[in-house]
Amino acid sequence: MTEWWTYGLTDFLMFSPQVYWRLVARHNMAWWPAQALALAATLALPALLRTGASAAQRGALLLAALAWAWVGWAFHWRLYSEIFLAAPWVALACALQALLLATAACVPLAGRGAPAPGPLGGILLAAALLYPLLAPLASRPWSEAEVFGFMPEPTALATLGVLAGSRAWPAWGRWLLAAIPVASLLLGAATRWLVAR
Amino acid sequence: MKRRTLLQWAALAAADHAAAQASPATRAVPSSGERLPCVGLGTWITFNVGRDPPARAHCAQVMRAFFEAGGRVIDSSPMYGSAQGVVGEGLRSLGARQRVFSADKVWTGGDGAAQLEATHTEWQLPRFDLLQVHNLLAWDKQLPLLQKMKDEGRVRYVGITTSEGRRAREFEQVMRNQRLDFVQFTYNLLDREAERRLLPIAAERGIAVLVNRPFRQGDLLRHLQRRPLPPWAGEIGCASWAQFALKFVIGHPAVTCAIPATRRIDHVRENMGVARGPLPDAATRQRMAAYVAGL
Repeated sequence: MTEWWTYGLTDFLMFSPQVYWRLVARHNMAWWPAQALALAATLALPALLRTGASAAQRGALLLAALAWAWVGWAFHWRLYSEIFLAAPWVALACALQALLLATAACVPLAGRGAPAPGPLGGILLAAALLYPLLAPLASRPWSEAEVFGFMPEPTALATLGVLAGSRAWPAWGRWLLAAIPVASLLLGAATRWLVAR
Repeated sequence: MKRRTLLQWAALAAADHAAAQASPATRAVPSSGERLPCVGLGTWITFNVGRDPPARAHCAQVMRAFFEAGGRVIDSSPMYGSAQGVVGEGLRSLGARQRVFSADKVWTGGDGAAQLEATHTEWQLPRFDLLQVHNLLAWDKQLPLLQKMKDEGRVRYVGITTSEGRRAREFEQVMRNQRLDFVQFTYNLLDREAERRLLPIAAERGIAVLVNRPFRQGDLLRHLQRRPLPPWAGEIGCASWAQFALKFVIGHPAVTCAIPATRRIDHVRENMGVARGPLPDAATRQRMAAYVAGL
């Protein structure tokens, strides 16, 4: 792409706000009432982390892995790709994240205890749990609410919360696992900013 | 006196009615003499609605209103997501495949022929009227492909596109050195760089001009709508800033067709209505540009 400096973020937005939020609603309606399971999972994550047991933290990582795999397939690959040319690539990144989290959950942790999770993990997990409220707060219908395991941003927030709370794993490993969720949050923030303009 | 006034008003009303029913103004494609309505329909963002059936049906209704108002030129691209398929479905449901002047693009550094094959499938058309190299991407590879297709009768016209003034120098060189029927670039009340070189070159070399972003994707109208129209806007048949902005563009004698993108039926009717009324001459266009620049 020549003259790349002449392109702004707005040049990469290829759909209208109405079409984007309609897509989110279609996604929710297609899988309703499975969002209840997703909310239950969001509540289970802090419970698992609070036990301090490495087995429970493995469970939290596996739950996050499952969420990434689902978001990657059900949202990015199956639906978002209808209107966003880069969505298939984002779906692949979600699949990679799922694989990385699942692998981390299976890695033996020789001789490491499981220190109690700090407050950061709790804050991030609370943000993921409350994320669906952004819809009514923005005067949008509940059908457009974004839920962990269904939409990328609450899934990324919850994953960062799990990583912050999974202190049985080395910090460098958790930073590595945070790369794709952070990138996902940045993409989501950029998209939200553009559709709101 | 009263009767003569009544007769005069009746004549004016009849003329207005006739103008409203008349076909939109047309411009000739220099390479063939074929005449095209000078307002068409773009599909960037507006027709990228995915597989949502109600949204696709609505786009078909926009196309219906467009054709009913005398429109013909519809422009799309593989870059526009699902827009091509939405147009193709609309054409099929409206039975408008013979009516449309189909304009699409090749947008790849790779296998242009394969991409064009997919584009044909999306539009459900056997042959395009116009194929363009989108944003000059790999033009040295794709333009010869399009020219070969034209020589073989598989497309009627070939062209190149850019937007927002990108790669202007290279665009100009391609215009001067290649066989082109059409060029497409940005031109509007605020983005007037094309007046200095691209529009005169197009006129000099007999190349038809499609204009994209006549409203700067809506930003121009959002900027202007807070200001009053000039008091003389009615003299050129403008009752809104959209009409004012579009008349400025299609008033340029080198412009063949402007392609504003919209998904609103009232807007598409308003846009097509612009092509029915009087078009501003050069002096009036200067006055229009100066007025907006002074706001």
